Amino acid sequence: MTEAAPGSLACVGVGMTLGSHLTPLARSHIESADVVFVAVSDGLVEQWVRQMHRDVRSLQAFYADDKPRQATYREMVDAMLAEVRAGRKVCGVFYGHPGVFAQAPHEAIARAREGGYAARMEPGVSSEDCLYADLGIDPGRFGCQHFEATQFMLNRRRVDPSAWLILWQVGIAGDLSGGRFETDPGRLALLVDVLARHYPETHEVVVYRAATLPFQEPRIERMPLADLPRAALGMSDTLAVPPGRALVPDPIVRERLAALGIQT
Amino acid sequence: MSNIIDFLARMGASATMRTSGKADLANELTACDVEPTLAAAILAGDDATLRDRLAPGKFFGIQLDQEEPEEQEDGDEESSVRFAQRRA
Repeated sequence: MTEAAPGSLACVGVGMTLGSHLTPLARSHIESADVVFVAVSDGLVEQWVRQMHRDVRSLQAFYADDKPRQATYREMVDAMLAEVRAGRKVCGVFYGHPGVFAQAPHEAIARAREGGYAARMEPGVSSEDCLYADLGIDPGRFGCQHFEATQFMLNRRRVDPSAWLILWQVGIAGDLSGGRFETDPGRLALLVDVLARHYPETHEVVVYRAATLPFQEPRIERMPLADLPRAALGMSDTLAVPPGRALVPDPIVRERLAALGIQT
Repeated sequence: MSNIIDFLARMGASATMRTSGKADLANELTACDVEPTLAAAILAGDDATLRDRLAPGKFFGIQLDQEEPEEQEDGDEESSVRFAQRRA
């Protein structure tokens, strides 16, 4: 049996709210690592992670306005893998779930494994999880489609208006440069045009943001779809679009299922 | 610094503290010797003041980007699925 090289990588999530969502396993990975890298969206959460280990290195330094984010993510991966290759036990700490809307953790784990190092991801409480709780949505009731907002705009997706539609990273919707960290009314108006193919402009939508600090309330702002371009949106905001029409029954499948019931 | 982070971590993990009224929260803040300005910010739900004081600067929260496909055999659905599977 071939043994993995001595360095290792674990990518964990701290959840969305400081103090509320960190799993015992994630904490154990952080505390038992040789070096910890952290990429969270709130400076206070980063301070909290710093209290868990003596060698915590922020990945925020790789970001810059107008710098291609792909370069940022490559540099994050390179920084973590350099320590893995040096034989150290590395923990990458990300906000929410490390594998949801997060490129660097997936890439780092894949490259570490290619190099023969042990690498794993541990799930965390994501913004999606918080959204279900805060908005009172059960994705099993009507179904729920999830898209990244810019990808949704750039491609013809098959939208099912009888299900919930969740658009992530709406705060940078329509960014073609890969280096902006904001959107603007013009880009949001275009997003409204895309959504208006499937929903009336009077359809109520919800701007949502999970709480990152325990004394905060989540942002839950309801508005007609047409008002979205005037909304102030940030990097952490999400757009939730409720179903706009009833489920459409499929009589053929219903008849075939009924026939099976009669046969058995 | 550490006592305010400790306080937030304790509050985040406490069902009682997260649902307590302002008077109880104020008592907890006093008991933990949290600086009055920061305690007032917490009681007011003023996260901006807290960040300005303890963790100033811009924090970026975008970790995924769109990569345009480099190649695509043709427009039919089956080849699109094969293409996505190769990239996964």
